[in-house]
Amino acid sequence: MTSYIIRRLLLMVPTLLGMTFMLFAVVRFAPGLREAGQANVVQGMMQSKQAQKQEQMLVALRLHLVDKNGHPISLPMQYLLWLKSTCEGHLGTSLEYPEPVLKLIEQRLPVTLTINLISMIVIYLVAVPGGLLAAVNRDRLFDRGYGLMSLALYSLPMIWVGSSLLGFFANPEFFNWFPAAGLHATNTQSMDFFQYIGDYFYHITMPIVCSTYAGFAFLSKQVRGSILDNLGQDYIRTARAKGVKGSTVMLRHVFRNSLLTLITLTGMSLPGLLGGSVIVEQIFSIDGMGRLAYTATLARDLPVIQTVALIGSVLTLLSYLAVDICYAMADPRVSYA
Amino acid sequence: MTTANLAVANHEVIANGGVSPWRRAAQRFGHNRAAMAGLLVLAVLVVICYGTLPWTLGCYARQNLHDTLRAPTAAHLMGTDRLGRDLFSRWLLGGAISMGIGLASAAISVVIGVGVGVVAGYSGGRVDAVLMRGVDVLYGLPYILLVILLRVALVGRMTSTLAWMGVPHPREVAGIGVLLIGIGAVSWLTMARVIRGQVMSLRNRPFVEAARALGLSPGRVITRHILPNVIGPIVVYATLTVPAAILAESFLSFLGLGVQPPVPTWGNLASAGVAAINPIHIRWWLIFWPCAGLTVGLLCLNFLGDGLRDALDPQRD
Repeated sequence: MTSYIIRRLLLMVPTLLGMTFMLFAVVRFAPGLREAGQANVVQGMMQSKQAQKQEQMLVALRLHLVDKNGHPISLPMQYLLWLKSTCEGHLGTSLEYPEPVLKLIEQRLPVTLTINLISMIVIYLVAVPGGLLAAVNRDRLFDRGYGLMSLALYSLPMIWVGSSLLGFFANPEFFNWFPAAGLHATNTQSMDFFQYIGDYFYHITMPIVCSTYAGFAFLSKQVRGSILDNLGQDYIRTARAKGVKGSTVMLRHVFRNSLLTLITLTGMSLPGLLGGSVIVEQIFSIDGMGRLAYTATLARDLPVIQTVALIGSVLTLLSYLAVDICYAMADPRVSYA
Repeated sequence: MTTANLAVANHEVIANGGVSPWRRAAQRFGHNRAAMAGLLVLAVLVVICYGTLPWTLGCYARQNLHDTLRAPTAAHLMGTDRLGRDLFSRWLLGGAISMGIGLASAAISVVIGVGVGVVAGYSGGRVDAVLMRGVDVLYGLPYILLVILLRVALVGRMTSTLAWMGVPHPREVAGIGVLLIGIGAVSWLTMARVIRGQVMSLRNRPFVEAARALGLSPGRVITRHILPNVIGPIVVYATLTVPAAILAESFLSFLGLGVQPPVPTWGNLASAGVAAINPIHIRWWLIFWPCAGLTVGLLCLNFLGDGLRDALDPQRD
């Protein structure tokens, strides 16, 4: 197992290199990056021409656009320099905020990850039992109704749902039940731990609803399909024939096999934990990774864009690895000698 | 069992066995009421959105500053917007453009995805490894970021190229074109993976080996023996790409990165409606009609795709 993991980690290297290369190419291809980067650092008219020029030089130096003597660096060299400094952990300073990129990410990554993890748990809690019940009641009322409902929810545009939630449930004219924006009340200092947690959940209820309602359809459809596949297998009939209890058959024989599908699907959805939340964060004004990536891209904030995308890529690769390991553990037939 | 009974039973076996798989799929699809309803409503939407194109193209951007923000009346069936433009004609044209974006993305994903999937699955080995690593790379990059960056990188260049080529309305065409490239660039990945898996399992089946043993060229084996067997998944995933692309366009419009007004799409009409919400005046028609169009269109397409998947699934019955 250990040697398998090591081998897989080594295989990740070329993929990761490919990702960094793509990222570099796309980012450098976009016009206006240099100009925008320089303009942001120029702080008003007070500075002398010379000071401005010096600032511009510093930024260009930081972005590896020029070398110490002010000569422009070729693109391949820029790529290598960027790789080198990234590997050394120097992610640079944001051009838009006066803070190191690492600090920005530190503040925002937990926000996005918690919201998306909670959303994922909610989706699984609904979709897995739903898919299971639908498979057991195949072609009966529950199956049909649940299938229609989840597909209908999937088809609702998120911007409509989000703005309607805001319009009806965070509006003094209708129901002023939930806050319209942010993650915390203003008086968090005076709260004890449980009040703090309560306040947090009170704030994230609507974002969670908004990011979960569309997720049921796909997952429960897959769960239902894989359970139906397994129900038709010979070993299920054998188990039934020798008198194993119905619930035991479902849990030990059918569900255990369907778990494999579930693992694959989970692995596929893990990368989305980071990137899928731009819209929700934008609607509910939450300062998370999605919003950071979005504003950084609009502002051409090069170091932030590169770091966010890089973290996303690494997470994706790690989740692929996690899927393979879980697969090996859940399925005794798979051997990774 | 009497001979007559046996004969009847035999006859039934022949009758059931004699129906072609396509026929059986069509029958299954016909029994799926949600999918049939979806198909019907979709056909109506397509006819009214595309049938009125000659009219809507003429007046979608016509402003009337005396008639701004009117609620729906007989003259303006869906009301008017901030600039006094008739929402009904914009909605119709927006529907046509949204559906067109969906179809074009599906076409892109079929061409690239099936191409890559078939080549990777059929060749195997190093070619497969390289192509699939490429797919992994694109999968890993955050999707919205990729679309935004592609937009930023390409819009200016494409506009000037189109203007140089003498295409009318270069800005609008370039905007839609870049959007399609962005959405298309990511939507073929799933298709490629699915098709690769299917082709890999087909490659070692006896009939394909027989075809190869008979000396058929790889191109001919692929077109005559492999592709007809993966047409089911291709159709299903292409159908499901259409709503996904329409949804992606609406997200991008919400972020201000989709098709730019005055060219309407359901997505940018909806986000304009969201932007027009304020606590004092609730102008419901500005958000209701585009969102209703989006919802109904997406619902029909999803029902259709889902019904096709059930009908074309060879493992059923």
